[in-house]
Amino acid sequence: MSSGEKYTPVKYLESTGTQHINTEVKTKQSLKIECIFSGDQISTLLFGARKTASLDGLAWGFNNTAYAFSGFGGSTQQNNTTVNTVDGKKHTVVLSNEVYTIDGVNQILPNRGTFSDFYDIYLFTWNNANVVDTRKFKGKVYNFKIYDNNVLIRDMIPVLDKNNIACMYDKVNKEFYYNQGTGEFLYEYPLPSEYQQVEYIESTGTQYIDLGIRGNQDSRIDLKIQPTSVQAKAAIFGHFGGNYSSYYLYSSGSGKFQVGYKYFSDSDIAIETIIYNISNEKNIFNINGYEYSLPSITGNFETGSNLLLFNISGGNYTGLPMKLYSFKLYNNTDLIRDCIPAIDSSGRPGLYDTVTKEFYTNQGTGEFLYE
Amino acid sequence: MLVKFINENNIKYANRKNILMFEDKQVINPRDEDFIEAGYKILEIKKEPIYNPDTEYLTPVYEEQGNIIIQNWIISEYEEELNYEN
Repeated sequence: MSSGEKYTPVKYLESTGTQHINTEVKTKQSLKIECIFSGDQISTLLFGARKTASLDGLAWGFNNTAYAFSGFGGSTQQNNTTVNTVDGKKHTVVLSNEVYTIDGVNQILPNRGTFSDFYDIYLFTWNNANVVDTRKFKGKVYNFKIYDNNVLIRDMIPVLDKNNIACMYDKVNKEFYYNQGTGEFLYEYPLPSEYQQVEYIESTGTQYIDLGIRGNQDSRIDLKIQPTSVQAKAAIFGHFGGNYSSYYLYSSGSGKFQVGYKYFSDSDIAIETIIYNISNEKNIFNINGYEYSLPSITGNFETGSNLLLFNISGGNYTGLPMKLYSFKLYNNTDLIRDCIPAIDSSGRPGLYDTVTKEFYTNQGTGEFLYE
Repeated sequence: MLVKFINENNIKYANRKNILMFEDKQVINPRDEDFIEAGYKILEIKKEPIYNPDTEYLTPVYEEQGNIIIQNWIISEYEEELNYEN
């Protein structure tokens, strides 16, 4: 572990079976683990710590197409899973005293017990009473979070440090966590070499980006923004098409999030200059954990023109000045836009889309700010 | 369709994929009776009223009446700032 803040994010860390990381968080009842990973090798260990093979396990791994070994406080046992986790695709496992899900689908974890001994949780393998299990994970880890009593205490992302060493960086305590095994982690840059990732791009209200695609009843967004001023009647994202084809986010006349999914309405949430994580599942919008529902619809719709970011198509609107940290657009479960803030080789800010491999720059006036 | 009344502008749809948490209980793979115990009620959707879509729009409004929640509609006129072109 070492301190510092200068790092380059990468898409993932990939272990070849010899690397692992010590999270320096000890097992206990109040923890919740959330791990995003992918792999196609059976019978390797993703994360955990335990006293013995039969006691005090907080562990997940040795997975196959139809099961995984898992434990929380009790014994580590083979439990069937309803999700195939060795298909090379990205999966999310959440494990706590109350919850065990894979990709949001509940899984059965019987025999939860109580921890009596406490050990550091390892990532990419299991810690067996301070002995590293050699059946290390062979695959990719994209994100690893630990909550304690629902407070985020580790938010580990794959990065290169200032010396280009691949490691995990914890955004909570701003520490780097390095390989404790042998060899080196593999990794992949999220962007081609001519682009440099930045933390965010920032609009002043006159910039916007045309995403080159229309929305419909299957559109889902997942974005992270921070308004830089509180402004009513200001556009954030999408297309406005009345009660026929609306799909958008807007700062209403009363300065609240107004959302559109065919219908549109003001939510209860007043816009402040804080970071918002916003997503939708059909008609249900989630704004920093608060759910706001529009009427459920039957049938299809399509927006009348392309979706915009930093503004709304279908009319003439002022954009809400804001920072944008990330933006994803799905059609059902298919990721069709994955936009990362970046600057190109001439220093022009924009969004690099890892799906279309396009770099979107401002189509309004002025220029984005960035950091 | 089962929903929970939040306020006159918002309801929460029953989501069977999620763990249902209410009071001190957590129900995995919740059934209708679990949602009802948690305060969810049947949603009754009123027919959309006739309106002029060029100048007006509909927004839902919810009302809790006994064992049902009624989704009704309000007709509003567009403000100039949010009129649309297609």
